[in-house]
Amino acid sequence: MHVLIVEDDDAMASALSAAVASAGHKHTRVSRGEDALLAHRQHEVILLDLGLPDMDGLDVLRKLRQVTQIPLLILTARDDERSVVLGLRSGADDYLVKPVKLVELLARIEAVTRRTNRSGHEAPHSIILGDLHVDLDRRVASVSNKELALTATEFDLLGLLVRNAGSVVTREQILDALWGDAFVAHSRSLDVHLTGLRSKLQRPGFIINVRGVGYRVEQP
Amino acid sequence: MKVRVLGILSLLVVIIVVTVSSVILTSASRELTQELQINRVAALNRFAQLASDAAEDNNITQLQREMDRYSELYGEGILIRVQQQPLRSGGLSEDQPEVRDALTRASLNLSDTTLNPIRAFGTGNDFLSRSFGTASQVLGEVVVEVNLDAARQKLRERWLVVVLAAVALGVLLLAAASRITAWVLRPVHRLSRAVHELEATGKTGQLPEAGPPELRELSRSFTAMADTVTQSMESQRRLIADTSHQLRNPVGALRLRIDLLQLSLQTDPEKQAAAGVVAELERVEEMLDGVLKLATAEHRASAGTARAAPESEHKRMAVIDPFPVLQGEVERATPAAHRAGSELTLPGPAPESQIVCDPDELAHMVGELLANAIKYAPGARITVATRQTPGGTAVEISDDGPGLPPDQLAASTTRFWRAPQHSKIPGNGLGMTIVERLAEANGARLVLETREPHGLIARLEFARPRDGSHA
Repeated sequence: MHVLIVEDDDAMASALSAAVASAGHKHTRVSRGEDALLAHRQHEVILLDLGLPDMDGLDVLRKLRQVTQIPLLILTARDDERSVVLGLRSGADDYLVKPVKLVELLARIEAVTRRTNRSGHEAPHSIILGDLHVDLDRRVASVSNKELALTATEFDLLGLLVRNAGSVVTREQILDALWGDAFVAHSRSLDVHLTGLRSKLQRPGFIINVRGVGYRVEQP
Repeated sequence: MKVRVLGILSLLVVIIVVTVSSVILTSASRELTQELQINRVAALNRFAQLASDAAEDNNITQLQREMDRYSELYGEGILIRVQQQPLRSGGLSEDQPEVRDALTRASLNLSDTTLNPIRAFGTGNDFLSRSFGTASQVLGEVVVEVNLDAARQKLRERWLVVVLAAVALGVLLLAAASRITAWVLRPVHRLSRAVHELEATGKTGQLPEAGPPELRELSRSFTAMADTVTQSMESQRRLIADTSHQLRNPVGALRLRIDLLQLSLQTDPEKQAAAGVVAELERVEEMLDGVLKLATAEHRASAGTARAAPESEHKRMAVIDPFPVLQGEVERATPAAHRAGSELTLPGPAPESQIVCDPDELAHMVGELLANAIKYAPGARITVATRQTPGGTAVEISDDGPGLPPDQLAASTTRFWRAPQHSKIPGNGLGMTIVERLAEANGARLVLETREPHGLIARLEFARPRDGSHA
């Protein structure tokens, strides 16, 4: 896989290069937003820093999203929720806050590319995460071969989360996917359905609340 | 201070008013006496002349007639003794002691032609007397009765006018004194309020320039000083935030490098050494994270309290039901709790528990308190609950672990404080400080208590949501 690293800090960039190289990926490093906009075509995944010398990383992201759906991870020193939410809303596939562990970095890159590659082809029929088995065609989910009695909305919610396993799904994305709009009016019902889903799964820590952003199901 | 200044001014006002009015009244009394005296002495002299003439002519009928007419007209008696023969009119008789005195003195050629000063509330009449005759011989005496009632009445009227005027003047002066006091003291009060505000929040508004010039100058100096203090606090906060932010890149690079290095290590001792480095690095990361979060929380706290209505200013402040947030945090903390052997319970949603809070910051605070409970009270039963308090709603995280002694409870929100008995457990001593600051930013209060028989209660007390604060 060819990774485009957009990072202005030299030390960080070289560490990132070494990290992706360790997983057997090729990589190119650019330090300016303009260069990223020019270079994205030859790559399969982008690691984008938000603090760039020539333009804001979020602007780079918006401009990229006008032309390409290439998998993109934000890797930033900003951890305020505003930047994170803005980044995800502007079309980033996931975000990582520095400092990040090597394993986590590689896993997230993996998750994002797998998902976007998959969505290019036909949708999966079923997803297996550990002992959780979600059959998207029959709309049945089971834990350790025991079928769960989920309502339609709870199943939709679970399906959405496991399809994006490994990366965060924002509240807005969930509201939009389940109710067709992201108005706050449904926010309370999301809490209710989430509570129901969690209690039926009986797997504490499976659906993680990413504060101020949304939810994530960890890839086992 | 206002009472004292006003008291002194009032005392001065009363003294001035009383002095002025008593001077006016004394002079009024003197003037009235004078007028009466001039008038009556003229009458006395006339009767002395008439009596003298009558004595020469030995004809007293004319004199008696004059006297009767006078008494009839003025209602004041006259007594004239011509050659030991008394003539009376208007019911005046020498039996009255004062009249007898006057006669005796006149017969000794001692004239009494001055009136005693009139007193407003005196009684009785006064008498004027003189003798008449030739230079060598006293032929007789004249005593004129002076009725003082009319003059007294006039004097009382003047008293009334003067007292009314004095009261009015006094009230006016007191009002003026009160206004002047307020004018002088208002900047002082404003200044003291601003000092308290600066002390509490590290910020203060512009003081209006009012009051006496010296106080205006003081206000100006204070505003300048407050600005400097606020700026230096702000720049300190920014320095902390920027520094930890800037450290993220090198620490991030270091982290990746070490992880890569670990992959290439072969022998166990090498791997152990690397694990030690990673552990230290994780401490650095945690510290960095904590400091940055604290800087953010402090910024939020100072931005929140510096305004009159933090609810309306903060965009994500909303009236929320804390239950879903608590549930999310309990869910997140449960795996860690299981690993520590703790039991984590959250009773079902409490009805009617609404708080004004930023949901993310509430999640953050609860998460931090839960993490603390799991870390420092392993194997304990940890309960998360909302409960009604007199002032509103509280979110309570309690455990039945070892707890903390009271002096450590008080110290636990101090930056970088770690309980000595916990020095083996990894941590940075920033968690409680962050929670306290975030609580402050949300108009809440963090209360730490010892639980009976043992354990710790951490309570976030939120005030009751006010109407119209729906964000």
